[in-house]
Amino acid sequence: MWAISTHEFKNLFKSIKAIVIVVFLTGMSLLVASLAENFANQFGDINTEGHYTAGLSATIIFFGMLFVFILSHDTISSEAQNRTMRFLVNKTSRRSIVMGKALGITLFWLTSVLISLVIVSLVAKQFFFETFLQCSVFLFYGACTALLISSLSKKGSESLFFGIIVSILLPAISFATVFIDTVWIQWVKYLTPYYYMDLSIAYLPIVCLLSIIILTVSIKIFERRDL
Amino acid sequence: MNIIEVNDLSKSFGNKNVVNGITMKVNKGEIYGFLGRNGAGKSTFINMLTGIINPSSGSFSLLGEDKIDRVKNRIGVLPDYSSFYDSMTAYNHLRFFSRIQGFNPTKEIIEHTLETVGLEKAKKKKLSQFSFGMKKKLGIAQAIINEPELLFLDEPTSGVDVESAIQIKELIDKLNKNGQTIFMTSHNLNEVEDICTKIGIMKNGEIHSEGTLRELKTTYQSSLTAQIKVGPAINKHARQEIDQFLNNEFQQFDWEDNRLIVNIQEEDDIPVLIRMLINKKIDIYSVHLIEPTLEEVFLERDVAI
Ligand SMILES: Nc1ncnc2c1ncn2[C@@H]1O[C@H](COP(=O)(O)OP(=O)(O)OP(=O)(O)O)[C@@H](O)[C@H]1O
Ligand SMILES: [Mg+2]
Repeated sequence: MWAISTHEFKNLFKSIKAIVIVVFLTGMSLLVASLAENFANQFGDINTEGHYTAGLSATIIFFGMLFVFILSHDTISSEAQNRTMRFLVNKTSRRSIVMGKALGITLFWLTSVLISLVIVSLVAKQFFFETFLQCSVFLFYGACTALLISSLSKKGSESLFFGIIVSILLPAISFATVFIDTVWIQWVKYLTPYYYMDLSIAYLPIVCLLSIIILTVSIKIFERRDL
Repeated sequence: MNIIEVNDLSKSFGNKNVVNGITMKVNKGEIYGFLGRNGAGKSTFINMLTGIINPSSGSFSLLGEDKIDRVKNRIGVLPDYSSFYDSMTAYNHLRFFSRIQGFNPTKEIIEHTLETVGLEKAKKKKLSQFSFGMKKKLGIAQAIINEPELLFLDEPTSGVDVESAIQIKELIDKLNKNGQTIFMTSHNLNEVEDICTKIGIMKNGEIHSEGTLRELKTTYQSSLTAQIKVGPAINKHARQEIDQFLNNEFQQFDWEDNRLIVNIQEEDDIPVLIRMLINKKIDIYSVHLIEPTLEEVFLERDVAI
């Protein structure tokens, strides 16, 4: 499991797409944080976590899913399609492979968020631990969902297609819950992480639990596949 | 303990039955050669045992364990159709794959393994620059690096040059002498004949014949051939008597100059022939027993079933 997660982690950092995304994330955070800093200087002290981290949080809530999916939608589907997976499944359990990948992807995002937050904290002169936790848990959910879609897809193109659809639908439906009262849409709200992001961090374990359920389903699906 | 034990194992893709209820076992220390035409289901069978595809029904155990995940670190596998990470070097592949199996090889072990398969010069090369045969060798390297107790090799020598094929054959033999049990498929019957201690012939998803090379050969319908070189001068009368005897006892025989060629049923027929010739005062210069090749056995079986 560790070997696979390290491999996944390093591979993500090696890709150009990942670097662009991390730079974008950091750029947005920094931009908003420095605006907040100017604001604070002009209008007295508003040194709250929200102002400094609004850029990062918003970027992650709106684009986080999409970013995770773009980078990791094919982590299982492509390896199954081009049959590199055949060398992995005869060496370790399929459960370890999926969990290793989930861990590697999550660690990649933790590191990226951490980089952005450290840079923001240089401006704000304090570290925003709550934001770090919230973003990490959100991205963990994203990683697990990406693995679910990847383990369901036969090909890389298939997982890309479904990944993009889901990464647009998930936030869209979540935001729709604010305006639409239909019962099923209200239910969906509790299954996606968006609703909990607005609440206190005490609700984060619920998101973790949802992610673990999604991960378990992915493992079961992957275990039944022929490679 | 049986190293491989398979019970009524089947696989179908859609409504096509590819493996039909195979029951078999492989003992410790054997080199089991699995033969069969293209599409017979050999790779499908190996892929089920190695966790690449799921059986439709039936069960099996490896190294006495039916939860295969528990013994994956004790087996080595060269799958049939598979590929590597193009941007990774040969060296890094071996290190990565070993680690997945929970084994952290030293630099010496990795280099030694690459050398064993003849890839020492390509150590730092990326896989995108590897030829088909080189990839096959790396496939063997990743299967043997952890000194597995059980080794599955699906066509280990197909696509490699003649010299490398011989080296791989010798390597398999050496690994086996070190105590590893090997299950392999091959279309190269000479190679199977040379190293395999047991052979299974698969057709239409079933094992139709199984046994040691000797067992397969003795049940071969066209039997054995005795080739006897006799003295140059045989008088006409003696020759007639001999022909008569052979006609009665063996039916199929032939003279090529002073060489008598007789199709016999078993080795015990040879003394009968020799006694008869001595009785007729014929000088015997040499006697050869010619066995059918595995190729002949295979082709005959394959047509017969
Ligand atoms: N994933 C799959 N889906 C559908 N059919 C398959 C699949 N894999 C294999 N088959 C079919 O199963 C049959 C057996 O294939 P298999 O690869 O096991 O044969 P083989 O004995 O290894 O042949 P070869 O000597 O060519 O390697 C073939 O007819 C093949 O078309
Ligand atoms: Mg095959």
